[in-house]
Amino acid sequence: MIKNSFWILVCFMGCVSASKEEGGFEITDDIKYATKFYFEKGDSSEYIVVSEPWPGAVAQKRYPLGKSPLRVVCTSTSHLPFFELLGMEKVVVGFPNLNLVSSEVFRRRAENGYITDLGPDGNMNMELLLSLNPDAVVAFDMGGESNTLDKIAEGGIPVFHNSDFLETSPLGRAEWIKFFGALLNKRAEADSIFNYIEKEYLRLKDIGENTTKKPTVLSGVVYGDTWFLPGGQNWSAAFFKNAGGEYLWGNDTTSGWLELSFEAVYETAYNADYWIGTSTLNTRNEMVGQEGRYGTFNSYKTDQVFSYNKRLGPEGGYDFFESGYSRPDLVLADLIKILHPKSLPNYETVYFQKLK
Amino acid sequence: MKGLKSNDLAIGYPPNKKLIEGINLELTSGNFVALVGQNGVGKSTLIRTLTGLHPALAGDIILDGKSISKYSQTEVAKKIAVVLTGKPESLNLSVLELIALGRHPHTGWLGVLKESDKEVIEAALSQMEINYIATKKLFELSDGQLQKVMIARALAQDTELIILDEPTSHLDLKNKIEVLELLRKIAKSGKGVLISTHEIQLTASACDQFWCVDFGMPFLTGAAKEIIEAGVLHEYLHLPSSVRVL
Amino acid sequence: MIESSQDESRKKWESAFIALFVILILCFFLSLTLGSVKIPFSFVINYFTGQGNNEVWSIILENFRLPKAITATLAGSALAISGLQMQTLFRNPLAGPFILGISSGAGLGVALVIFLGISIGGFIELSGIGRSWLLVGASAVGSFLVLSMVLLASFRIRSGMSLLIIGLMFGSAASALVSILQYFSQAENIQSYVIWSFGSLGSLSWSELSVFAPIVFSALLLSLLLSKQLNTLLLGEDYAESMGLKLKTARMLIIICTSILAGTVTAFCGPIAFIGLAIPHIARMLFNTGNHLLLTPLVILLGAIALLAFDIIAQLPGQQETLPINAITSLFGAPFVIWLILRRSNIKYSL
Repeated sequence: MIKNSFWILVCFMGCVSASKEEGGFEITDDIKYATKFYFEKGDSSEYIVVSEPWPGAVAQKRYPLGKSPLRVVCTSTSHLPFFELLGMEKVVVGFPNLNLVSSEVFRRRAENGYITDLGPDGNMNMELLLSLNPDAVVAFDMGGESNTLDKIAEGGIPVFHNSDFLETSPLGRAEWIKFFGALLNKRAEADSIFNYIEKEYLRLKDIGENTTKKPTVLSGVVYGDTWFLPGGQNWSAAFFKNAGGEYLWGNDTTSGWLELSFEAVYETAYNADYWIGTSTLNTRNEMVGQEGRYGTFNSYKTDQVFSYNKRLGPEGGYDFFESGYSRPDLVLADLIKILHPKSLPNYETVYFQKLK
Repeated sequence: MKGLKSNDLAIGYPPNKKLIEGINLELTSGNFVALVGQNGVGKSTLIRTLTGLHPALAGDIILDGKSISKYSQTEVAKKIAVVLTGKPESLNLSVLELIALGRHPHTGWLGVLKESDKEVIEAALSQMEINYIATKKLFELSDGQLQKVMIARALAQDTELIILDEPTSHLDLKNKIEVLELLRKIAKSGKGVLISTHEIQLTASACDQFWCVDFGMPFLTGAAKEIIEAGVLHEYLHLPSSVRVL
Repeated sequence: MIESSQDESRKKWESAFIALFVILILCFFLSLTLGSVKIPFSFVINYFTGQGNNEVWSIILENFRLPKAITATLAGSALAISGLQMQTLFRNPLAGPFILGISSGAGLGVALVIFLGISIGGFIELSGIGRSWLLVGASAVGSFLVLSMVLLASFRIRSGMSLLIIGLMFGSAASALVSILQYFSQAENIQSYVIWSFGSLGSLSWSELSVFAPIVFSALLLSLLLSKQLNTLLLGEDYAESMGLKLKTARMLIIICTSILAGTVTAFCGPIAFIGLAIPHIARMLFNTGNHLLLTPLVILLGAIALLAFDIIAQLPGQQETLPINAITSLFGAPFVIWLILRRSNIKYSL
């Protein structure tokens, strides 16, 4: 039901915006949750400022807002939902590794030849990219020494660094829709959509945090001898807390990922009520087939293992990692449904499901 | 007939690079034979062919009356021991351990030494007069000592024949003389000893027989005295006539 | 005269072996005691005498630490012995267990499963084979294929050096194929593969151990029987043949033994570096011998002790984090070897 009303809203906005292209909108300047970008008004124009264009960057990047680009190459599946939400999927002309995309809209456009596959994203095919004649590239950069991005800039194509992946709060990450809104001249739509998401999120957060019993939560899986799980300040951890759960590493201070020894995780979490998030393991059999000792965890024994594999693209890509970042309200609802099912009796999860 | 014999043997590199052909030789116990010839004429190849390390091109090699191909590798190892040129590849063994390796064809699966094995090893040490270095490591030895150890290993193999490839070429004069004298004694004690060499001055007085090889010349064998008196050595080794062989 | 010196040295060797065995037992128990979770030594003793009363600790000991300690012991011995065999077979001090391309073949097998896994995912589900067994199987098959090619080559080539180069080339080719697979793959799969290549001693379940242990144990016994052949090979191929050693048979047996040891460890634990290369040298330098009848048991004990010790360090006892085993082996091992060499700088060292 939440989803349906949302899409009605989007369609409405789409109709409205078609008639009002230039000027006269109410532009919101304040960015409430995102910490890695903001807007600045200069004398003649406005700028988007990305304060940390890549992890550990010393200098900011300022991008002047001007005409909306008509042909855009983007480089991460997490960018695509923003285009889709704003109704601007037609401007995307190039993307690396198209087979990973889950969104039906984009897959169809790719099949019909409107989007070109640019190859592996670490080493995109420059000739193809240039031949597309894009007027903007939205890039995520992991280390600031990307030869590919340098070459693109040399080719005279504006590169917009997107560091949404550095945000640690769910709403902060979703607020990047305003970045794309500004870029594509759809700021009113972006604000409106975000306001809706924010309202929903806060409403659900209230529900989650007002529960009396907070079930304990384990997350992650082991690779080799090392267990990878979100740190206490990680984006995932915030969800567990807001959904009324007690993430067993909630007091940890890192915002990235923890790499712990299996036995340490076992000691802390063998008794956890829920296990949420199992990476690429999609079934209970796969789990114990990979590592027999998973079966000794209480949450496994009581069949309370959940993961984000309810919506999979045709080639196994997880939609959660594509559109989940832009819809924290849905993610939070899913988690509340798991941890406190009675709080959302009529809700059906979107991304998460119990492992079979 | 005991000992090593060849019938019309031809040696070289397959398929058809012939070095020497028409080789008829005999090596029997109690004899000390020197194979002489210039460098490159095929002495080493002949040695390696006789010991089974290299295939013959034509002809037969007969060992103790039977064709050598009819013996198993271990049986041949109990009848012929070799000493090759150059130092052994691994020098981290002790003298005793190296000589004990010579018992390989006689010991069982794990190579454990029985009393009889130990006696043979002791005898080899004494025969080569190297008891005083028995516990030293190979890399601690001088060239002369090392060569004696390698010969002792061949002795420990307890064979009727010992074949050595240029055993003295890298030694100083004193050691050359010592080694040749020890080899002569070994032959006298009942083994058949064959060495290849181009040092005829020293070997002439020690050995019983010469086998001579030269490019394009027939393979010649004969008693040492006769060969020297016939001047054959000068011919086969292209020595200037001013050189006298005693 | 031989008798008296042998009696003296026999006493020395007996004490050396007893000492090493005691150190091994100690390391084993230390490895059971030290880890991320603080378990007192007294509990470890109680566990073995059936008096353990803390369930979480018992589970940790039984499911995590005990399999890991057994794996480390066997893997350390296996890798060290196969390194010794390769060094002697090729008379090359730079040789190690993976010199014939075994770990590259294993890596290729694993890479095919990890990177092409989605395509055969359905097959995996149907067959019911757990993914961990699938990886073990793929790794073993990969090693075995490279091994077969090397063995085929060994029958046609006499020179050891040529065989070594052929092994290196097969290894190179396999690694190149892995790079290509990696290049076209997604980040999670690449991470998965990279973590496999870090090596992992703790991921064996008891059922996997029940396959791993007997195989490694039998191959270690076989290696003891090959000591005589290895000794004879020390003099070089010509001498060995002249003493009755069937060169091709011996080479084949040694290569098979090495492959079983190194291939099995790599299949279950990933490629673990350094131990195979360094332990034989450490044994030769510390105990001053090149005789394989002594070296083989020495290397078995030292290999196990070393890997147990490295694993204890990698666990970062008391910390929740851990380090991959491959990081520790070379990091701590290399300076030790350098120190040993410098200490003996006035003595000529050889194989």
